[in-house]
Amino acid sequence: MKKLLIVLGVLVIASIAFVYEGMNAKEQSKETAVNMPATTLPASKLTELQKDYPSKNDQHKKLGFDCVTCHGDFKDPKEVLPLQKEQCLTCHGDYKKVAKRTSFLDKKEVNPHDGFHHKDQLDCADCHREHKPSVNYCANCHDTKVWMKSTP
Amino acid sequence: MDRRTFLKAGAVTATATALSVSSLAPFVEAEENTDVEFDEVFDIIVVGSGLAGTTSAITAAEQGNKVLVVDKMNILGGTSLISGLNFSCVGSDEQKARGIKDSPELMAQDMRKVSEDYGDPELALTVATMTTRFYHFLKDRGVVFKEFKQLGGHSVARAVWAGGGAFVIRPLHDYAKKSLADRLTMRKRCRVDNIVFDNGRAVGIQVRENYYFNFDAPEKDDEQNQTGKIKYVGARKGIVFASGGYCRDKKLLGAEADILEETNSDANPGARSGTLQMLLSHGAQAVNLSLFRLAYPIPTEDLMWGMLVNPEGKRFVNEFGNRNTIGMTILKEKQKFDGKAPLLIYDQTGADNFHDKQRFQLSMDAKNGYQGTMYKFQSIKEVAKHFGYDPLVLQKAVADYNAALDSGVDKEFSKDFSQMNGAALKKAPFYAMPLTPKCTYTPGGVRINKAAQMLNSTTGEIFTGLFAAGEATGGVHGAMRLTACSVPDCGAFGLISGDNVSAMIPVELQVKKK
Repeated sequence: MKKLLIVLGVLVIASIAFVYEGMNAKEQSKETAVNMPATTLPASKLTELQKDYPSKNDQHKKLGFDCVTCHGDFKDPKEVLPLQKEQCLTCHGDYKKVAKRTSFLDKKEVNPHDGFHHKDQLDCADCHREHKPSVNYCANCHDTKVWMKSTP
Repeated sequence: MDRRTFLKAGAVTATATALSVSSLAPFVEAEENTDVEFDEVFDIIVVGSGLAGTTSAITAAEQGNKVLVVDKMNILGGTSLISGLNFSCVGSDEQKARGIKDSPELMAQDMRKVSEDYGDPELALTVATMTTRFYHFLKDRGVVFKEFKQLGGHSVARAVWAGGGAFVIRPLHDYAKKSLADRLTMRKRCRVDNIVFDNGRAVGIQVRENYYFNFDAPEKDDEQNQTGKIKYVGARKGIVFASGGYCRDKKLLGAEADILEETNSDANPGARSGTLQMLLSHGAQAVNLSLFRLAYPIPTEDLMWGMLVNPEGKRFVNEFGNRNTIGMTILKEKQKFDGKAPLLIYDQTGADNFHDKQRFQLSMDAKNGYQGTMYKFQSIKEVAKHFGYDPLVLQKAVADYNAALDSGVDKEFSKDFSQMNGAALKKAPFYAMPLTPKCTYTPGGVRINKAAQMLNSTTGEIFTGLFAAGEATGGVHGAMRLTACSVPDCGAFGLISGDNVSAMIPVELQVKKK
């Protein structure tokens, strides 16, 4: 059983690396090395945690992410913090690339990834949530519905 | 765990690490303890990374001090970053180039005219006196002023404008990163929970690092947020509180004046009273907490071109009035209708009459803050449909208003129809928005003297080692802060607190051995 898990694990890692390469190729960014963090948590614990903290992100689910893929290794789930932008950007390229995707909003200076007030200061998780419905940070102060659709 | 129990828990931890934190009883003397151990020690700690805090921190760092800036929010810059930041300045190059005669006394006099005699005139004069130095402070550190303006309530043209808060805060933070990196550390998501006293002197703070502000239930953040890890940071010279106002704190605003709960605010979502309450628990004096400043997404002067109606389709106020009278009337009207805001409608002529077309356009582009969006319609029927009015009711209101305009006399609210310059509700397209006044500034806060030292309400003495600057303080402006006078306030007391905390004789503090 243990061996099978290891084999499966290796397969999953390989396929993720493959998909990343695909993503990166499409977006023409420099190659991103994906290091899957090692963990001391048993697989059963990870499965249990995934039930307690399910992902709402279909893409991440498809890629077979578990807790440590994004959060790194941890002992106690209570010490796990929301992700900072640098952590997300290890896979998603850099802030400029993300801003380019929403550059159609530049004309009115409301590109959420290169906004008038915050430029590249916001953390991805300020809007995009993995375990809860995403929100629009700009809506703390603005009527954002006129600018853009809901946050993926 | 509620806040009180948290503080208790905090106090227990404090005792365990041999610290003296008097968080529970406001009038208990701080316990004396010379064996205080800190996780980190700086010369100076500044709480808040907006304009006042940034100015204070840069000033102190430039004088050779090791400075830590902490901010509880997810980004640095506070409300300043998202504000217009018009700057009333005496003695700018712009004034000189135009040969405008001005003086600190004249500016202070203008500030006092709208203060309704609340607050401390000496503080207003201090602000005006410091503007020239602050102007050069900003320019020398990369801020570029793009416009020079004559603004309402100012007896001469004296406002300079850099293009918005981002064009002031960003250059200053970039400058700090570039030129003061060895001395100045700025830390976001770091909330101050308490002050550490030693021999009656403030020598440090208890913070929580990795604090995640609760954007999902911001009104409960101060009481319920348990995120973050407790740490103790020492300050050899002193602590500057530039922790901002409480525009978003409906609980405190509502306690001061019931109808203020109906206001909107687009200040920093973290603009709440947690830090203020903590300071008061140690005996700081609160002044002018009942005061507030109302504003609208569009200029008050341009409300007059339109008609305001309540959800029943009835007018209720003279649209050509002063900001607080109209604002208070709207807030009362909202209370009557379960929080539903009245509707403001213009026709094309009214829209053409706007004196500030840039702000009209901002509203059309939905960039004018929360509920600041104006919508365009081809007919009154469309307006009614969009905002949930009975079309017949709204059409009758419009017809009555037009008839009154034609008669030349507003029998109901005595609006001066002779000033309307053709504005009515006749010429399509029509423009409409629900109108709620925003609370954009809280003039109240902790009391300081003109040296930016925080004052103790029980003894009347200063707190050794505690300073405050910016919107966190009270008594600088009084009833209605004059336009463009928050920047000089942040600047003046930012500079003064930075100078004076730097001049403190340092105490020796131990860093915990790891």
